[in-house]
Amino acid sequence: MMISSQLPVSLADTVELALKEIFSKQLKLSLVPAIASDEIPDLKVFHASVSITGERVKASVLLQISEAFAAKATKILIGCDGEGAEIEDATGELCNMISGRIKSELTTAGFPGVLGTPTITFGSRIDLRDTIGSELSRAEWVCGTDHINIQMLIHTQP
Amino acid sequence: MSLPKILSVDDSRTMRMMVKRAFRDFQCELFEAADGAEGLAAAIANKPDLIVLDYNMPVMDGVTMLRNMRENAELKRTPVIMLSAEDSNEIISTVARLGVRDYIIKPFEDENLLSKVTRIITLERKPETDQPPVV
Repeated sequence: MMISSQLPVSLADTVELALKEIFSKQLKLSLVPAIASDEIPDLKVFHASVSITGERVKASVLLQISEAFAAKATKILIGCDGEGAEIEDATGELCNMISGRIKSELTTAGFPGVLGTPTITFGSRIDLRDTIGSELSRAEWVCGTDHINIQMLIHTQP
Repeated sequence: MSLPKILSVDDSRTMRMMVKRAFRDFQCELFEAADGAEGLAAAIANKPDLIVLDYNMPVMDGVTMLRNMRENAELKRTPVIMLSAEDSNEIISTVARLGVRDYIIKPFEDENLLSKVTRIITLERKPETDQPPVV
């Protein structure tokens, strides 16, 4: 039997589903897709990244949110205003939950893996670059007035 | 009867604070630990009535902590609820074999966690007066 290295699901759909589920269930916030005319503010952002690693899959999920949105999300999650380390941790946890949901979809699609622990940095927005044999999903969402950027780079093999 | 003791073990401070927020109206003593090794030490020291445990943690993960607990005479029957972003069948089967009472996948609702905790605590701490009389 030929085993395909192709994902049987749309990567963009998988990422969208995960992002929307975590935002609606855990933050009680809704998202709309950013439209081309939406100007992305030139702000420093938190980058939270989580890896998904398995025998047939290597993936990285990158969530980028502004400092203001990270503070807002932290307040929703922990029930009070957070400070520096708390905001970083909450941003990482948000990415962890999104990645967990994506991992679940990948497992169902035949690409099981395990989650890494979140890494969080702060700085200018970054764009992941795809390489030969990898697939990249990059999407921009708006939550109120805040831009939410999510990117996923995935490499699968038979 | 003394307040029930609950131990929350998660490397994410956010998750520990979310658990704490979920228990804000629940009369209990809440302890925290940031990984399995700390969690095991806190469990030995405090003898909790229930542990809310993450799977994926540095230093010592949730499954290793569970295995250590089950080898400890004083902790082997302590009820555990897993609270994790990991939802693979393999992990759920492993922790089920180690006697985990329930498994909550993140994201979670406070009410869901509270209802599971309340049910277990109520069953485990049933007052002696509720026991059927010995004939």
